[in-house]
Amino acid sequence: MGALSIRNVYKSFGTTEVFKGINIEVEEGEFLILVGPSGCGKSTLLNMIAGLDSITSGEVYIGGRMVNDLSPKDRDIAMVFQSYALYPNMTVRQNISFGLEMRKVPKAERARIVAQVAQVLQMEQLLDRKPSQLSGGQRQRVAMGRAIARDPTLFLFDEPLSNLDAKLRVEMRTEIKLLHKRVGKTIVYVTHDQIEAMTLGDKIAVMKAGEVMQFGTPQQIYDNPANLFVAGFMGSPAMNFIPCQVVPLNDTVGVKMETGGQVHIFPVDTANEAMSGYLGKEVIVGIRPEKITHEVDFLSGAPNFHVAESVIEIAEPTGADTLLRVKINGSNVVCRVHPDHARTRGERMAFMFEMSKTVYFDPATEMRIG
Amino acid sequence: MVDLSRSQITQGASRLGRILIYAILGLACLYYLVPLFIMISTSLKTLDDIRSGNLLSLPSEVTFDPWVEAWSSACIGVRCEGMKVYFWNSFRFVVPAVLISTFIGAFNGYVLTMWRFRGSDMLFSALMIGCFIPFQVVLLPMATVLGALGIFNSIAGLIFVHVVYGVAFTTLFFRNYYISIPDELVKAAKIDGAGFLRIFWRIILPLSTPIIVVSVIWQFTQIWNDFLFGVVFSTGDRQPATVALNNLVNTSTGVIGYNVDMAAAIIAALPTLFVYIVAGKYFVRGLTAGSVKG
Amino acid sequence: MITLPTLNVALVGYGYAGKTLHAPLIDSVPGLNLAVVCSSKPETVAMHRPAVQVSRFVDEVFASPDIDVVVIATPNDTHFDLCWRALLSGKHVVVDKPFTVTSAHARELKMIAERQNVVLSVFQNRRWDADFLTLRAIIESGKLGEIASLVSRFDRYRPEVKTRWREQAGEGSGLWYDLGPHLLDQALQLFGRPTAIQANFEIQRSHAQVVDYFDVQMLYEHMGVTLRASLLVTEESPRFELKGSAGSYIKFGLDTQEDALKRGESPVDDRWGYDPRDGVLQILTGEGSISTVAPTLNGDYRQFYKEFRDAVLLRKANPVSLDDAVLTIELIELACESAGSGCELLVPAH
Repeated sequence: MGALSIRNVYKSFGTTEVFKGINIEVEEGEFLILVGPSGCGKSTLLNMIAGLDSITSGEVYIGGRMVNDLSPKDRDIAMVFQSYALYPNMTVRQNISFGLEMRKVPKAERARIVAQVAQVLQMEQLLDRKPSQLSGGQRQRVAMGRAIARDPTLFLFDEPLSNLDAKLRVEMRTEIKLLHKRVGKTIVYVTHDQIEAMTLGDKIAVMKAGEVMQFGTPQQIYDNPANLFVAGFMGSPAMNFIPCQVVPLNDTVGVKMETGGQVHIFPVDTANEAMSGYLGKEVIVGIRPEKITHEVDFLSGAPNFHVAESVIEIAEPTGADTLLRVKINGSNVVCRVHPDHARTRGERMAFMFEMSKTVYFDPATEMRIG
Repeated sequence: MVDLSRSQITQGASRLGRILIYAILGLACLYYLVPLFIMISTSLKTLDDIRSGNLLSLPSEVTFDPWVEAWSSACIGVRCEGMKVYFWNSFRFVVPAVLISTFIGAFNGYVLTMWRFRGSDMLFSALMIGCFIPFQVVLLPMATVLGALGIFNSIAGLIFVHVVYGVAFTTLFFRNYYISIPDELVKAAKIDGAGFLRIFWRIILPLSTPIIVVSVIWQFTQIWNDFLFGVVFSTGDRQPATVALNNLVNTSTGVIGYNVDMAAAIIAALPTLFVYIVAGKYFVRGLTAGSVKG
Repeated sequence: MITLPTLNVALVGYGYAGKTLHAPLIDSVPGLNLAVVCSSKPETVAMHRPAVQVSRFVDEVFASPDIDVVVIATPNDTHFDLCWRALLSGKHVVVDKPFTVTSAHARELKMIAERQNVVLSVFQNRRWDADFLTLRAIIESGKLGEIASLVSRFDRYRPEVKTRWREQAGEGSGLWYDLGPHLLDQALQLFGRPTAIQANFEIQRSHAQVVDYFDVQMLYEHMGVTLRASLLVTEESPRFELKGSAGSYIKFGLDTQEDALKRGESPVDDRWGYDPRDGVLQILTGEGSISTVAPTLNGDYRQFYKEFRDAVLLRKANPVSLDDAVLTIELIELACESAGSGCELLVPAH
């Protein structure tokens, strides 16, 4: 049994079912991310793990113990909130030791722990200040210090970086990652930012409307999304979705793409046997923008690399690359091209499609095919 | 003809406007200050001075006798011991009433905002209606209750009445203040292991200074200035200063001692005036203060 | 990966249909290239499309190995002849409606196409009208229950008789041959072969020489379809009135694509085929009926050419099957017979 185990958890508010059967297992020392759009229930799930919200049915185990009936203070957890939630009338030192005080830890021991935590987070000089005298980043560190001081089995973070500006967010992200390495505790982290999810997590649970759409490592979720929602949610710029007809191609099947005044049939990986069942039907082809670039001479002819011309509708330079938008089968498709090779709006250009990571979705069920 | 430029015309117009505004403000000031002036000056005159002079004249010779008399020897009803007894009566019930109603209000506000239970909103609305019930409606039922409790015509009775009546307002103040405290603060405290009372005592109350000040000022002014409850629920030497003042003015054997009356009135008004002058700005500040930022 | 070869298209006839409908649609569909235009007025073609090759000589074009597809957009009475020659040259052919003037011709062309193993299709573009697609979706959704009746009208106000080949007496002239194929084909797509047909034709305008009014009843076992067209209607009449056991649908306003093409708009726009007028759906409920707006889907004539291209290159289904095309002509003839005799005529079952 790992550090956190969520088994068949359901929750209803009155007659509305908010969670339908959540199952998540987290090993000790792992960094789990709960990610999803607003309203998907990730914060509520975190509150349920913490004991701040009730569970209608199912079990939650922390460190092997079932905690359903335990109050938050007995669950051996610590939580860091989006708004830091520091006690405004107490100094940093008092904020950190408040929880210890509640548990009747002797004074000398409290002082020792506070000093240790302050050292780990490099906050020694802030100990006697009040929260109103701290900057956003400092407050966040104090909030983390408060959590670390309790030395719990499980750390819970509820969108802790959402209130920070972009630059600070990136810095704090690295700090949290380093902290995890140093302290080695199990962390459950809620965010709506998929970049945070990808960079911080060992495991990611993508949630939508109270359900876990997919659970896996960041790379698994990125490369093998289980359905249309996960595919479109993770990755920036988002994955392109192109409705295509499945047509016969030599011995296997291919997908028909009309662009730049021509009709092309792109082969489907022969390993994907399920696609042959879709012959004659329409599927949704998912291909990430970074897989459509400018034509590279020595690669054309290599397996999985295909070239097709298209007319550029919009060009968006981002500095590092240029995003070019074209039309395939009437849909908008974004291509990530090196700025040196990008043409301008209205011009025709040869694009190279790398098809090895292409995924296909059933338009009705939105599930991945194969 | 002199050709006035546009700006000169508008300048002239605005100057005229400003003169007009000042004139109106000045008039309004006079309207309020003149009676105060009359009161003070009358209280410092001798009776002869009052008879011979006119209302607005300064005392020809300043005397503090009316003040001394008002305080310790004026006749109120059948007793002739001045205002001092009644002045202290007022203090005896106003201070406890203010403190108790403030504390209960804080507690109610805390429960209503941070420990929501089924029907808490309904309870709050019911409490709010209490703010709008006029004193007069409450008189008869209150009299019955006080009689049943055996505290009619006592300081305890007055405290009880004012606490009950004041709780509606103080709850409103504290509840509206606490609502702006993010509930993540309470969540963090719960996780830290603090219980219901501990959170109130260690975290919420320390944050409540602005609204406590508001509540104290409001309640003090309301309760000290109250006449109706005082006159109904107490008699004789248990009465508050406001009632005593009324009796004093109406007790006239022969000559009406205007100067003493004036002095007595000012004595009765002093505490609230004092509170206002000292703490008035905190009242507004407290009402508009947010509690926690960040 | 395979890039499908581009089909070279020869357009025969640069009159209204060729110029306004076929040429822009061919240009807008990937995989089709307008290579040659055959016209009796090459100067007009040169003025509009200077880049396209023009020829007066149809047989040369048919014999050319570079041409894959022939599109015939000439007057009705020349359809059979041109189509026949193109098929025998081994070309895939698209014929503008009406397919042919007589059903015998239609059946013969079908046989030749099958023998030559080429794709022969009829440009029944109104199968992709915005209002028709919406109507079809509503019927298939079952929202109106059992369909009881459909009235399909195409009314306009053209009191002046113009000198166009359509208005001159001759084989295949008149409003019935002009609009009939569209309305008839649409009804056949929705409800299949009728059991009987009764037609009323009239020449209403004073100087007209050909039929300019028709009212045709297609009778089915449990329902009936009325096809009506007139050139003397001043107020607007609904395009479709559909009635079923559970409600009704009514739609005003014609598909916008033809007008857009006449104005010179290109079909490559995102909003192509947008019909700004929505229909009204009335559904019966327990105590009365609820009226809702039925948003109109977008029409897209390009679909015909896309499906035709796929039929040629990928062996997919013909967008307009030859059986449908032949049946349409047979019923057009039957209607003429019915109008002439004044009787309701049974439609043969096969």
